[in-house]
Amino acid sequence: MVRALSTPEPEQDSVFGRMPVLPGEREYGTVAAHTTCFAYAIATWCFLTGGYVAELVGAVEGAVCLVAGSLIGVFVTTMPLSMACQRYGLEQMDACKPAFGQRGAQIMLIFYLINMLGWSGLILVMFGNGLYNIAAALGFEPGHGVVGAGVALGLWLTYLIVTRGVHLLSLANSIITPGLAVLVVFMMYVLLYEHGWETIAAAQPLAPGPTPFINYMIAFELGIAAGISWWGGIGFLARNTRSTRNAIYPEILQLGFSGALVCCIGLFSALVVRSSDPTEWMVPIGGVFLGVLALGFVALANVTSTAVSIFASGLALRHVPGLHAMPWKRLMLLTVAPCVPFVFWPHELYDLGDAFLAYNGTMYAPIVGIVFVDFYVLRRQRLSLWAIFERAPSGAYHYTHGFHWPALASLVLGQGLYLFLYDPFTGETHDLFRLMPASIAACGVPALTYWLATLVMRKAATADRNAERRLIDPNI
Amino acid sequence: MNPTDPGNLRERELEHRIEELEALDRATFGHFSAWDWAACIAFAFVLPLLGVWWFAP
Repeated sequence: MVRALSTPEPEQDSVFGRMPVLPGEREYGTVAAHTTCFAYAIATWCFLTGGYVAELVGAVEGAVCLVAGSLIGVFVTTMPLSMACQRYGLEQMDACKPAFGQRGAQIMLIFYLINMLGWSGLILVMFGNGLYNIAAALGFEPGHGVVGAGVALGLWLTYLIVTRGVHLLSLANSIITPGLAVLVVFMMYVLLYEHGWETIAAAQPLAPGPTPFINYMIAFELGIAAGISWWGGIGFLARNTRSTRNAIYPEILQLGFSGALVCCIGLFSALVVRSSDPTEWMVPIGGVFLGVLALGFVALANVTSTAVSIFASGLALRHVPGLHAMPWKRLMLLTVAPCVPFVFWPHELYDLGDAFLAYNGTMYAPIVGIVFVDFYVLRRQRLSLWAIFERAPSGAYHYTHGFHWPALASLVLGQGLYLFLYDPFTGETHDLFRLMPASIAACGVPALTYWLATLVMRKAATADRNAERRLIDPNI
Repeated sequence: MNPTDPGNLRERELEHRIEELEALDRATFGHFSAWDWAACIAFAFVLPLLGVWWFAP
């Protein structure tokens, strides 16, 4: 995303809008794809993820769950989506239209915005907590209202950045990404040097449930959800790469593997400091001076991470017909508005962070499975760009009033199945959850039902073969 | 229809891009062979599942 924001105008149609990106416009070769994915992967929400897993399991089990879950989550997400986005220069919302229909794909937009704005709110509370802990480390006695005020300040700074200073955001990110990498290495060094691996490995989880195996499975589930959460960013990365390998391998290695390693640093820190809140780790790990410095740096990183999410959400909102031409500042105001509740209930919403992380699996796992079957099995990796950009009812991907009901019904089934196996908000699990992670089931079963439904209807797979090679009512 | 109207220009640009991309052969984007698939499935799916199974309490 750092690279993505190096050009200031959000209206630049191919790279920043929905126009399919031509091979000659694509910027990421092998090295650029890896570095951009690495910059994506190292973000402050990795610390949050590690903290959530520390509540359930210890260091070794947590690291296994985070690395394995993240790799699997990124793998199942990237294989269909990146292939389609890379081949046709599409962003992910458009790549979902063959499966879900012209209007049905806009439901993905709702999930995408929940994902982006939810993370933004959590990171802004982390920013507010950071200010609170900086004040506390310097000897002040801040009231808890500081956190809400911090969220408001973070929102305001974010709005300033995304409306006036995208150059500034690009510059800040070019400093913050390497800075975060240095911080992660520093944290790992201090953890190993000061405490040693034996202490880290022996540390007990912070707030485990009564059954160790269920805790382990939930931690694995959180790892998969962290991997699947990249759904929203994968299209942008893939469509800007020059080869299929450059789209797939960097995403698996950097988003899946490197991102999980950063989550592991968060896990180890949380276990040693005995807190899942990343802003409470820095002073105990680094001392007052270095701790406050690190906290200030993480606070700044939180604002830029939020700005990136808000910026991407604003671009996504351009899909909504009434918002195509809305002035950017007004659109940004509309985009930050859903984060306002975090100003008034920061602690209550922050405490729901682990449930929110798992809910990303609920939202995206069925989509991933359905798109997988649609792209590989039904369409044999061939989409019709004419149909994707055609709004007219005669378009091949218009289906029934713009909705492809087999896919949407399978999506609802998958989300219901996920909640049946594991409810992230109550923490309740079904006995079958011991055998199968909810994300995997919610990915596989809708994929199967969608495939069977289209076999019966025999429509989706053949629809685009007859697509007209002209646009009647372009949806751009 | 005004050919210089921004909306029409965008539509023409879109059609031009679609024609160009549809005409491209898959090989333009490099190969993703059966070995690539095998490596990805092994590294990012099978080995992680085995790891989770091995370390389960």
